[in-house]
Amino acid sequence: MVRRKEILICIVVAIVSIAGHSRADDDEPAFRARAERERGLASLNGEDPTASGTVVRLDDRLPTGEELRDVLPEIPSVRVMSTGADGQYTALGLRGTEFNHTVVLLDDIPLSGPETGGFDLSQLPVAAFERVEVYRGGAPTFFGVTPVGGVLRLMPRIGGPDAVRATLGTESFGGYRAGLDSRATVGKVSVGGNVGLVGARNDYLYLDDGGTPFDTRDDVERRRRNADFQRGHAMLTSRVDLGRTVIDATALYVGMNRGEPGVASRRTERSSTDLSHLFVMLGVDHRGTLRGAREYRVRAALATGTERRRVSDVFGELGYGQVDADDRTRVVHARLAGSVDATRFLELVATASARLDRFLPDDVFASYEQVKSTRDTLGAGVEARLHGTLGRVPVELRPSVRYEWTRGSATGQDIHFDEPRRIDSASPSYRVGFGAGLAEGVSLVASAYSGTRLPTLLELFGNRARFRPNPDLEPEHAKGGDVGFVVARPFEHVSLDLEVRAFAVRIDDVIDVFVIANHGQVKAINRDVARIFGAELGGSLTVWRHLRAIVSAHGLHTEHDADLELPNRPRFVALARLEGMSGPLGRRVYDLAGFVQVSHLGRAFYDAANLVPFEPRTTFDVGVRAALLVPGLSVFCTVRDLFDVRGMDFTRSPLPGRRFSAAIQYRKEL
Amino acid sequence: MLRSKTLFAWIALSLVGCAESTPVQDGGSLHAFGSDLPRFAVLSTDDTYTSTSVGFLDAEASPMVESWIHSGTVAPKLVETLGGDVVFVTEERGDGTFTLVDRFGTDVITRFDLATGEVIGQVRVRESFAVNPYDVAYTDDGRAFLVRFGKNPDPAASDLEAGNDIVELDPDTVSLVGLDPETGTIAGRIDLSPIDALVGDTMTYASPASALDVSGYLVVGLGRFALDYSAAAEGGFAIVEPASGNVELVTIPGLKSCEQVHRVPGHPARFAVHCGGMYGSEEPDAGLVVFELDADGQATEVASYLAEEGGSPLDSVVVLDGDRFFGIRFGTWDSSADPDVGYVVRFDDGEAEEVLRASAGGATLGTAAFDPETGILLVPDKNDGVIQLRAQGASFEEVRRFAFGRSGMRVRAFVRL
Repeated sequence: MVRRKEILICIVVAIVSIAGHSRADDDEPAFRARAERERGLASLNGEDPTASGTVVRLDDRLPTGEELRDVLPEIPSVRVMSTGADGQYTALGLRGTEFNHTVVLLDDIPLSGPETGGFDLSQLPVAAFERVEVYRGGAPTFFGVTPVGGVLRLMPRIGGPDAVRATLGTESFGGYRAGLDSRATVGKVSVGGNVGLVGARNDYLYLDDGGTPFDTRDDVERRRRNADFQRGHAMLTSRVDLGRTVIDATALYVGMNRGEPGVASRRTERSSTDLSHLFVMLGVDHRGTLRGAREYRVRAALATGTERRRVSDVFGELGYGQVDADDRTRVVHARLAGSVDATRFLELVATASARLDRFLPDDVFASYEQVKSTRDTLGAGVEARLHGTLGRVPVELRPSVRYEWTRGSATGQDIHFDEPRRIDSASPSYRVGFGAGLAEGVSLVASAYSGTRLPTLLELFGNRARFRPNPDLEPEHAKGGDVGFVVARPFEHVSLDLEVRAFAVRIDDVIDVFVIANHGQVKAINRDVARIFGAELGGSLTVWRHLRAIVSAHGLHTEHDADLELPNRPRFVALARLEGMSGPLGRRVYDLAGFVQVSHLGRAFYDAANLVPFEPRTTFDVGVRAALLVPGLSVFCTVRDLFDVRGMDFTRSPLPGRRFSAAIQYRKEL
Repeated sequence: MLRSKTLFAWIALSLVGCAESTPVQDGGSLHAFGSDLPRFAVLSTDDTYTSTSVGFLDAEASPMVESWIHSGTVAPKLVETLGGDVVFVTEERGDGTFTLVDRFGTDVITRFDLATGEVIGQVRVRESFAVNPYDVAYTDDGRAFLVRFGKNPDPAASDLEAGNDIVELDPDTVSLVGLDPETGTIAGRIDLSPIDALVGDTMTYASPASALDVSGYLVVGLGRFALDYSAAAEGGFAIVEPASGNVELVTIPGLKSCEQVHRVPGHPARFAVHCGGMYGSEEPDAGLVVFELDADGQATEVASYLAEEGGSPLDSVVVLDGDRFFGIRFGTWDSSADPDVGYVVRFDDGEAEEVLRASAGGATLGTAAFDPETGILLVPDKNDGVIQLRAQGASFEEVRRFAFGRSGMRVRAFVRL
């Protein structure tokens, strides 16, 4: 149950944001310095035309009832893993890498940390964000991160026209969804607020084979139990535009409670997770000119986050022993980034960041002393952005290096390591991006990069129980590269965005978790090399503002031990959606729109030995949206998995199959 | 399932290397051995203990079928054909049938008829809670008893969900005897909770891990662990009278984690109790103790070998006869410089003769099997596959090493059929 305090916060934020409404003096888009300027290369992201970045805007969607797991597959090389329906653990892997190889940013600040593993995206509401950006492979230097797999960046709604929007929806399996969003500008100050409440029982049907694949007599359809969830969120954004200087602030609170249904062959009744997450960020952008000619830009940001995660499994239903935990994570992050035009063809970009992570475990059933873990990270990077023309061809070359120092300590996480242990690591990395404009709106792009993932404290020091320590673990190191073409070209009645790339990734010292003894004790160990090769395609085509086609697809070839494929990597993944919008049809019908979407997950292997196949799955979604009766009023209806394919996720969690979402939305410009 | 290739052909053409057409399943049938029954079963798992494969060797340890059944033999639904935590029973029935125990999380017992290749039956031995079946003991009078290692902390759990017990299994129908599916009550269930014990303020549970029929009694190896393995009570085993359900705890002072019981070849009334010691403990709390059981169910110690500081060949054992056992001392994880080493050890004077070195250390060697009739000793090496030794007088000599099974799978254990 979402607590009263959380609901109260949502209400307060809503009131504050609505009360702040008044007509804006102008609707000029907010200045958001990014150490970046247009140079004439086609790009599908706003940060770095040489990066494999794709943006999905969330403002004008036809489907309703969406979570991030529904939106992200529109981006090529995305692999979303979940443990069932909405509200259950959801993680993102990019270009065939692991889920903990993806860094999640809120604006410029990492939400994921060294202890989060695969970041749980189910706690983040789509409605709170204006757009998502996904960078595969090496990330733009400006972000100050060096991921192995890539970056998911969530951009909060800041600025825009004064408006209020309210949404109310209902969904299958006891689902409901309510949200309120408002934005206003008073003079130089813009304020935005977004609150929402989502939940579902998730008691959908699935086939229980009784754990006996050789005996179908005990097969029976059951309803999923203990998979319900409720999530409330509140986001408050503000911006003060002082001309050359812009100050922005973002606060996000998420409270979530969910049952933990466990794997479907071992049902649970009482295990649950209750989490709350508060994130506050303050940023300052400043731009100017040096000696009247050389432009410079600076952005400073300070953020703090706290997460409280209460996991209750007092009867050991989930299979990891008895747990009644109240763990807290605290993070402080500071970053400074700037750029300056050194010459007509050279821009220098520098970033520096500091991050303090504190993890405070508290488990009633823990049989060992629980001591705070710490990790402090300092990072610095520089990029030389060379740009100009070769003949009549615009070109850009972006070599960059980054160095990161990490220091941490952990005490008493294992009987063998009850003395304070230190973690010291230095991780150099690089990225080189190249782009050339082959024709108007068409670019050749390529990049090469390296990335690092440090072992988590759990992997290093164990937990005195099932997870054995291995303080000798080395960080994972990745090297990768890609090459391809980007088309971003508007015509008179047609607009085409297209990206096609081939990529390769090699990960050394892969950290795998092994079972090392009876009773399920495990240990993380550096192993061999993983190699991933693939190709990706993504794009959209808009015709006459009435038709839009969206396509994403990728193919993978992976290698692990003895020429085996990496588990849980579909060889082929594709999504295609066709949208039609009528425009005004009469006095009371302002727009009728609909979509058909087909999604395909290709064959993969469930296990590292490639014995157990994950059968391909193709699903269809359809939906309509009607804007009628009064301006700003829209009704939505979406049917997912139209033919009730259901199937399993990679974790052997049954998926809900055919389900309906309906919503009514009212939006009013103020 | 909707076909995908036509729908996406145009997309596929624009991509490199994305074709998907390789079949992965070996088909859903199991080979029938007829009268030419195998002598040894070989269990392999992958590095991550996600999937399992089982093959067979003949009496001379020559391969018959390298992958008779594996995790992908039939299309998976909620669970795959075999999980990653599969074990053999301590002692097979010896009548051409074969048993697989799919342990933690799957909790399924499957019995096969090797002559016909048919599945005799398959049963999940719980409803929801992972009771973690560890072993099935077959008795001379045609019964079978299942030991369930896991302990359900919910005091209101039904018999079916309780664990920490012994329940009877019908070996012909492969079903739980006495189970009322409506209530979860199991008539005749032998609850081992009476021998749970407090260690300090930590409760430890019987944790039955293996069982043998010795002279009409069930001898049950006990882990005696706390739920999170942070503590273990004094090592011991239980002597259970199946007819009455009477349970007697026999402790072995100084030892811990006495999970495995072994038959002593040539001595029908003798059994050996292997105590592995507390994981991570620096105390010499491991040992192998041989007992003799009299007609009244009283056990008398007849021989023992106790660990010494600095390491002993007690990480995995198989009893060869009343005087000797084969024991393994684990070396350093993944180190070829400090590999696992196999010894033949005499009970009387503790003399240990090295008979093999593994390809690496850190549990590279697994669970061995010995055939007293032929003198063949098989030791699994996760890198090399099968190591075959043969008795030569009082010692053993290595005959050969050979790879066995599917690519990516590691040989972990043998059982004599």
